Amino acid sequence: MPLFTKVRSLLRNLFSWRRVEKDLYEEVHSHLEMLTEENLRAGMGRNEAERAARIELGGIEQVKEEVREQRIGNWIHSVLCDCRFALRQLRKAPGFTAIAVLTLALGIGANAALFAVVESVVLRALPYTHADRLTFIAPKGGRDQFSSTSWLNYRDIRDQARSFTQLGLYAHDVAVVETEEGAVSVSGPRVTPSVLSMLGVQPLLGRTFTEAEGQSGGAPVVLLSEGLWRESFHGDRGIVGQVVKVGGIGRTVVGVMPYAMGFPEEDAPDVHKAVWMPIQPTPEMLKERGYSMFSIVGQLQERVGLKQAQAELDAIAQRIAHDNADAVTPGFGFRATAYQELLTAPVRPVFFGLLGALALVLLIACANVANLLIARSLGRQQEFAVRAALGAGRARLMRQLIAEGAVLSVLGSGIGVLLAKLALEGVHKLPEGTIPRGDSITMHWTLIVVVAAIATVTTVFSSLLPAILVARTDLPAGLHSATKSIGAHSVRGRVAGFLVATEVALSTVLLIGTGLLFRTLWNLEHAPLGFAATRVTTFSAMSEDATGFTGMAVSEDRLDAPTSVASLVYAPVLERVRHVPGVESAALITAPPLSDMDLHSDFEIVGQGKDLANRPSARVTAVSGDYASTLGAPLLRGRMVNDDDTASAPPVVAVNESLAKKYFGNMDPLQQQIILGGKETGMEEALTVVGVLGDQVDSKVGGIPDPMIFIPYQQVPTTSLFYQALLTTMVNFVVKTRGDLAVASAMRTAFHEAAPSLALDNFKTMQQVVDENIFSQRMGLYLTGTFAGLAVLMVVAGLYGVLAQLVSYRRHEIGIRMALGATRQSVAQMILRHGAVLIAAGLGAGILLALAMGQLVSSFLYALRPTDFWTYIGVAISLLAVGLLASVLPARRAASIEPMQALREE
Amino acid sequence: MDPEPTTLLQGTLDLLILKSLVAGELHGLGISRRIKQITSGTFVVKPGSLFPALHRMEEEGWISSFWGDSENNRRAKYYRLTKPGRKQLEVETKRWGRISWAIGQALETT
Repeated sequence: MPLFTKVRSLLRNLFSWRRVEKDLYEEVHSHLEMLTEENLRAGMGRNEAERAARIELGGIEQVKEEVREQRIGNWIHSVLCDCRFALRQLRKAPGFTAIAVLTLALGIGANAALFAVVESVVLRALPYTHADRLTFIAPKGGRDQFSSTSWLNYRDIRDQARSFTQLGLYAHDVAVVETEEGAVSVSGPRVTPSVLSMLGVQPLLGRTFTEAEGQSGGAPVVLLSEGLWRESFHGDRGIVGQVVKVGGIGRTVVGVMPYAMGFPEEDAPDVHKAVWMPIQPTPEMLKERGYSMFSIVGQLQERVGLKQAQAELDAIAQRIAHDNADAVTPGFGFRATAYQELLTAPVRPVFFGLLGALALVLLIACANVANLLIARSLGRQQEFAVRAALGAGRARLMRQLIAEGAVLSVLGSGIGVLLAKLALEGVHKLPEGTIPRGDSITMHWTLIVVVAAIATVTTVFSSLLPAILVARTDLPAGLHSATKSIGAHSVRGRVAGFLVATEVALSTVLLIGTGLLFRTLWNLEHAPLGFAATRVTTFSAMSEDATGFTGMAVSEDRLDAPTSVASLVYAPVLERVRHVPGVESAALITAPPLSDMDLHSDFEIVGQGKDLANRPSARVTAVSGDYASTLGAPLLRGRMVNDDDTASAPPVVAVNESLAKKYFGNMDPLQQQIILGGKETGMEEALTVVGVLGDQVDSKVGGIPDPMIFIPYQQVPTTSLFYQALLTTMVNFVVKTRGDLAVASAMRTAFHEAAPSLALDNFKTMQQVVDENIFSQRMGLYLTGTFAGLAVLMVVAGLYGVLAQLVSYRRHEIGIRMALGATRQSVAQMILRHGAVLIAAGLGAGILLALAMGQLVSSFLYALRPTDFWTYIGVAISLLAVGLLASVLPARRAASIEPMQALREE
Repeated sequence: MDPEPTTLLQGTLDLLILKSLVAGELHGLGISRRIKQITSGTFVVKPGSLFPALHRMEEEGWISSFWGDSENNRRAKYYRLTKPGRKQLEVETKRWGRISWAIGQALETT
């Protein structure tokens, strides 16, 4: 019953407001009249009776307001009133409103967009069953987080580990698929059937792999991706059961996987146009523990943590090491990491760094709006005084200002979300693969929560200070004194100055960050590459019957070894290419600089003892003659391997400078001999080092190059593992031209004539390759540069606003000063000095802050310390210049005040 | 002539308003006068406290209001006790009894 009454009252109060108000009005008035009558009866005169009645009643409006405050739902009503009033107030000051809303919109929009990216990429779970329990298991001491391991290790973990519901194995690979329009080379990951059941993605058509299809000698089958199925098979629903040639082998299509299947995610975006094939263990895989081609992924048991799984893996690794002492190196072990975490590890620090930078921008925006509100509240002293006299309490006045801040924030958020949407469209235009999971970036419902939170923060930060200042003022005094005494030393002047100095400090931090990134990019663009990128084009070639890297095998039948594709196909086509008009030189190389082709092998130096712990290892590539001259790579010692190093000539290799330094030290590497794996890999003969090539960047511009071995392409034994890895799957060509030449079409023509079975792809100039490699730094620079630009604009607006307000409120005082003999120059100086003090204070604080935060950015810098002197100096000078520029206009206005006029105005 | 009016103790205003309405419906001024009368002029309730209290108590459901004619044929808003109001009066009366007894005890202790 009471609840019902309350609800009824609430509804009445909210929806019959007018009637409730009329009732109250009549009640109070009838009360007043009854009081008057009483007084009349007591013998007072009419006027006296009315006066006494009013005195007894107290203020009519005050009584009514007090009744209103008792009402249920009063706060909703008064908040609505406040907002409506705030809107009216803001409409009356369109300039102020536009600046404030725009400032907030930029801050909020940028934050919302970046949050959407971070949420989609880092926070949102991958679209798989129990994606949070998906775990990657890498060998310890691998070259990177995604290092691979062998089938035997996988088998042992699978058979012994209890922490996982399922374990699976996969390998990155490529495949050539024959379609009606010809052969297309696509991503061709190999997976065990358990990977697919673990991920739980339902096929669009057909089924996934059966257990039998994952056994040695299982049926040749393939799963198509939705992307490839639609593009190359016209979305034919009858595709399941048909035979498609993949790498020259007929494979039965068992199903089509939907777009959501993006595994392995580290291969995105190519994997959306992929074919998946089952891993069917070969004799090599079942025999060699060092045959590391595979990645292990597992699904943790419910309520089993990574730590527990890690402990179990450590125990298994110990057993493996114990049972296979000859096959494992000391420090052998496995490391379990959450798959998604591993995937997003490269971008996470970047994102969080950018979010930090954006939070600074947002704070600056808030400080600016707070300053604008303070400036406005100065001009509204009288309005506040009148409202206080009419019964508004201090709390009510504060609420009014906060309502204005809230309305500004809501408007800012609205426009900010629109800006964020635009920004996200921009993000989707970035080159594919710039951001992992880039295609999953969308606005999600969580964004609304975040924007609401941001709006709350901006409301509080922007309007709380002004509100407190209003509440502190002696309100009645405002009624009769127009504000004459607002100087730099009043409370408001100090707060406004403090806010501007804070803005300067925050933008100093942003500018220093930008400066450091700018110098880093400059350094990277001028970093030694080890080759000349000018007029060099690179492209890849894949054979129709390329088998991929995964099914590699060593042939025992060395007498009956087939003739190498190097002399059958590549040598003739290279010869043909070299005669194309405009081509200066051309060469074949499996792993050119900055390519994803990353083939590593352990090796052994003849005459040096086998040190299992520090077995030498190097990046390995096959190379044709003319490579060094095509890329302009400097030869340091001896000779480069060339086309005279044929299959029948003595086997030789060239190495790079890093390898010579790391493994030969003070020894002369020339004429030393190395063995690349021996029987295990089929490279049994010792190879003689004949030359040392200068280092070339390999995976990252500005990075430290790995040791590298160049094998003459005709000398790679066709019976070895290296033959498939280096020559029969995918190779690259580099072509140096004389003038401008449409390289792609010329090459396609030449290859069509001399080697029709090769599919060409990935045409890029070496300069493009380099630019793509430093794209992330460039983008980081653009983003922080934009943020810093925004920040500086806001600082200029804020500083100008504060000084201009100062001048207008000090007109009277300046008038007196000038009447007493101050020159215009000294008045201008006074204002400029005020501006300079604010900038200098902010700059000092900002530099200290930047010094303290320097370590956070050091990992993004190249050949630069985070405390780079010139960056700091440059930022200080430019901020001072910009700040003084913003102060000039107010200073001139102060100097042009006519003393008599200013004094008479009051 | 009047004794010094005393400030109302927190919560006693509700009790006095409820009590003043036991005899029958009254308008605002009537309640004010009735309280003055039954407390022998000790408590004078000003409109600034009376009206907010009346509206709050009406929203609580203890009293209800209607428009009627005053003794001088003037339209006035009348209040009367509701059933929950009577119950509330009992509760408040008991509570007050406890408080006054306790205060009395406290003051007698030396």
